[in-house]
Amino acid sequence: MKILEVKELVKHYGQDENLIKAVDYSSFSAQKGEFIAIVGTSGSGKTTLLNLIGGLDTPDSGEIIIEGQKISDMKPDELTIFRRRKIGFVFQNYNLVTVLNSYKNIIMPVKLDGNKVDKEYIHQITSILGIENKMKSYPNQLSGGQQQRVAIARALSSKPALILADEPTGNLDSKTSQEVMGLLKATSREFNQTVIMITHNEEIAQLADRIIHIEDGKIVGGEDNV
Amino acid sequence: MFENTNKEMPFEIAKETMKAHRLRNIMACLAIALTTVLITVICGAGISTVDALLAESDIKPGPGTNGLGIYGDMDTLDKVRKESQVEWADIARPCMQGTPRNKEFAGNEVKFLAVNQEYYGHHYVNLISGNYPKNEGEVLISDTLVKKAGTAITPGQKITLNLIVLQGGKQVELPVDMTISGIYDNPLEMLANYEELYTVETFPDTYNPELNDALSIIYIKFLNVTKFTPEYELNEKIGDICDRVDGKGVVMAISGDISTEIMSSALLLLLVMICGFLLIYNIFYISVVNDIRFIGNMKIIGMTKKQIGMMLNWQIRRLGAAGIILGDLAGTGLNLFVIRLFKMQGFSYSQFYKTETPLFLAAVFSIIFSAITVWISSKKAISLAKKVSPIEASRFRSSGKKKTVFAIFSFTLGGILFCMLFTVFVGYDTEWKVDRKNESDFTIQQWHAIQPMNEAYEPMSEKLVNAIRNLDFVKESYLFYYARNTKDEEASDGFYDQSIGEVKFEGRIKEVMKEEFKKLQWIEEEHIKNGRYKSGILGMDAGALDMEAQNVNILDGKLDAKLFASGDYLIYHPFSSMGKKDYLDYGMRAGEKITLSFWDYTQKEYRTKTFTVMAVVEKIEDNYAGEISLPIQFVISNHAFEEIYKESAKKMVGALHLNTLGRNQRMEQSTIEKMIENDFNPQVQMHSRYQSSMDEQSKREQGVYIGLVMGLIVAFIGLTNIINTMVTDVLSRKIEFATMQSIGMTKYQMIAKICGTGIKMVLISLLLISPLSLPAAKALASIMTTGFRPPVFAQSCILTLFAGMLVVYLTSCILTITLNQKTAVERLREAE
Repeated sequence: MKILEVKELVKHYGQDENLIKAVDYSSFSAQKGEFIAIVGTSGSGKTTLLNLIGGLDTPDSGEIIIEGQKISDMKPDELTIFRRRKIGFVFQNYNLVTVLNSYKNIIMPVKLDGNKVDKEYIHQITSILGIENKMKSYPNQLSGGQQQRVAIARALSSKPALILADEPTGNLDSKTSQEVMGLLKATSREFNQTVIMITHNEEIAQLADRIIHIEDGKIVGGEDNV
Repeated sequence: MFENTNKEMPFEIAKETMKAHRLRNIMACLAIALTTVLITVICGAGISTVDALLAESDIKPGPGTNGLGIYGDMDTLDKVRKESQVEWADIARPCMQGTPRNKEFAGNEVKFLAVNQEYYGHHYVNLISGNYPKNEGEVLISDTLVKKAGTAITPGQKITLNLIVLQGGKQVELPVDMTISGIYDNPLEMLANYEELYTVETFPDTYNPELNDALSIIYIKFLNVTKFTPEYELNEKIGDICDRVDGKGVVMAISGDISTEIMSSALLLLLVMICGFLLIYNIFYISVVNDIRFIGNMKIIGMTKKQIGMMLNWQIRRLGAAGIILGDLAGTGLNLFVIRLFKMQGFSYSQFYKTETPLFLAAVFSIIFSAITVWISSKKAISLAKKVSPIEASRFRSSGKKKTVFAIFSFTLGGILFCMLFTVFVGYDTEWKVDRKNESDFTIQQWHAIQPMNEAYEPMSEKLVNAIRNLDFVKESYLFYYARNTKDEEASDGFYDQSIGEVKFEGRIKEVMKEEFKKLQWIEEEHIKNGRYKSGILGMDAGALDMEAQNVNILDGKLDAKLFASGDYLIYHPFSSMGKKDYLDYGMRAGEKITLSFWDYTQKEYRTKTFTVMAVVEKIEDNYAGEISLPIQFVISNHAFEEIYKESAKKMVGALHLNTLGRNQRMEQSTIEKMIENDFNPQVQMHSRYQSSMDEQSKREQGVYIGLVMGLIVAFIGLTNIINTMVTDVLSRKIEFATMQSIGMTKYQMIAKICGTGIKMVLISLLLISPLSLPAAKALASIMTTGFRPPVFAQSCILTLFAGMLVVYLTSCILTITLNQKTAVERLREAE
């Protein structure tokens, strides 16, 4: 089942000789439970592509369809709520709320939506991620790897359609990177979660089910699920 | 699908992030509290002043109608009662002119009135004990007069009233034995030295029939008239009815005109709200800017605009409430002093200031206005937080220019207000204030000589004048005559004119006045009657010339006491000078010979004398001392005055100035006061340098306290903005400073660098403060008549500069120390 469709997506910045084609007629799709890595050098447009998919930025043209809904037609508030329910984000620098403990960080998307927390589900996630005994700790009391695991748990807590991870291992050492990637893959399998991950690290990318290469805003390989 | 009302998470995040913003919370609370203090004080001052003005307009004789009435007799009363627009009307018939000559009444103006029975209910004359008078042998007395008499007075007690009645056209003393029928609760208690006694309405017909209702007032209550009905409307109504019923004149209405007070308070309130707005806005704006990435992240995770707003509003409401409550309490405390200061001012309504209602209302109003200020100040910041998208938030870079401009603007505004308040209150020139009201140690003034009154003129007694002049502590005394040419029975519109003389309108004076009328755009016919020109004529002791010279500017000629004493010289004080150069082109000149024919109304004849004009003078602006003051136009020596007016001169004493030995001014004052009291002429009053000094000194002390406090608060508001801007600027550049220190910047260089930013803001502000605050301070000093002292103004500018520099330096030091609690490397690592 296709969970994501990106069709002829365009995002340009500037004009004339200053024109930057951040995303240039890119198209691809993702199936449910697929783990996709988008790989490209710095400035290739991969972050822009991820932001467009996540509804954080608006394309100049093209379509993005997530679970059958065209997000390009949504108003900003609708997009925010859609994002809260359907998309989980994992960032390079974790972006945890420093004044909330790990548990509250994890359940934040659920509580923002006014829903009841599925405690069993949360326990399951945190157990898999190995942070079940860190629930009362605050982000400044955790290591980088632990913080990223909390971030992954937060991304999963609302049972989203899609997880978008922007260089999730960028701030971690190689050992921790491997651990976190392993956990990301494990949770993706366990919960049949679609994950789209950006990385410039080919080695990390190998852990994905599919690698999409992007160069100068264009997808140059891996766009189809073979 | 996209509905969202969840508040729990935003409130939780709001609560937790609030704890992490301690500095911002303190600054915000302080800013709001300071703003609220000022708003509370302004509301308190404004409301209490409006209250006092309205109370003054209420408290006058005939309180049931706010004093609105016409002069007339019993027949007039009947006609008035038949008018359709009249709800009711009562007559108050004075049984005599002036105050009964009873020792118990000394120092008070006591009106003995014969009234109809309905008068009591209509004018709040409520019984405390006894009964209302039923016959001509009974009198009703007030509780305040009982207290002033100092002896126990009860209903049924006998009292002899020493009345002055008209018999064969002459005033004679007539003791009348009466019984006190009852004691009433005085509704005019606030009128300090004014009392009313009541008896039945037929009393004057029996005991003073020749008075013939000359002074009787018919108080009229109109339908659909309230205390807020404008003055012009009231006077129109009363004028109409007077014409219709052939009344003898109107008692002009003076409604409490509160528009100026409301406008001034509103303006000041607006200024303070702007001051507060700038500070509070900056604090919240900087806070949101600093948290913009956090807000962006919240949006990425899924917090909507509404939820962002809820989160920020939760914090702002709590900070606002804490600041407003603190500020309201402090401001209310300060208001007690402010109202006390106003009570001590010399305005006619000063005695009516009270604290209870105004304090409460001020506290309530200040909460409203402060809440509005906080709401407006925070709107922009919340709006920025709500509308910024996650991408914009991640790229957001504040140039810092906006907050710097705000800080400068805020400090400038605060500095201007501080300089104004400091100059006016601390620079309160008591000597100048005393000198501008008193040219001698004691002035005994016949008030009716210098202003119209609603009772006939009662001359200052020769006996009193001589007795005072002969006191052993009097070093020198100067008598002033005011020519009076109006027959007192001919009241105009219910008012008896002040002392005005008349000269034949001919010769040189006619030429001069025609020019002056042209310049003043006066209608000649209004000032000329029966071929005579009305003007002020002053007779003066030659010895007083030096004293009077202090209060005038000489347009032409020279003042010479010896020549003046001869009686052949005249000092001319034109109505229109409008600048020396212009006047001398068309007006009277020194050295001229002028022949004047003075009208003596008692003898019905002219007395002619030729004078040489010694000098042409004009009154110094904003100066109330001295007798040479409009409408006085001709100033001649006492010798000449007595020559012209002969026996009539004795009834024209307008003022007596005394300079005393000054060994015990309090004793001197109380001695003269007692003598005046025992003379029973309420039109004769005294003011003194001694009393003025005491009053002004007391006002100054209160003023300094209030001025300093308020000035410091406004300055502090401005300074707080500078501090806030410096602090947030430095904290946002933590990495930059850490980097610079890691490559060799010393602590002192860091202090200097931080100081530099702050000093620039202070200096730019000062360039604006100095030129803008000078005219403002002068204007405020003029409005409040405190005197403007340039050295004090200069002091205020220097203090502002010094305060700014000191605060900047201290802030730089504290910031440097705070940042250096961690090493540069630790700070850089933190950033990573």
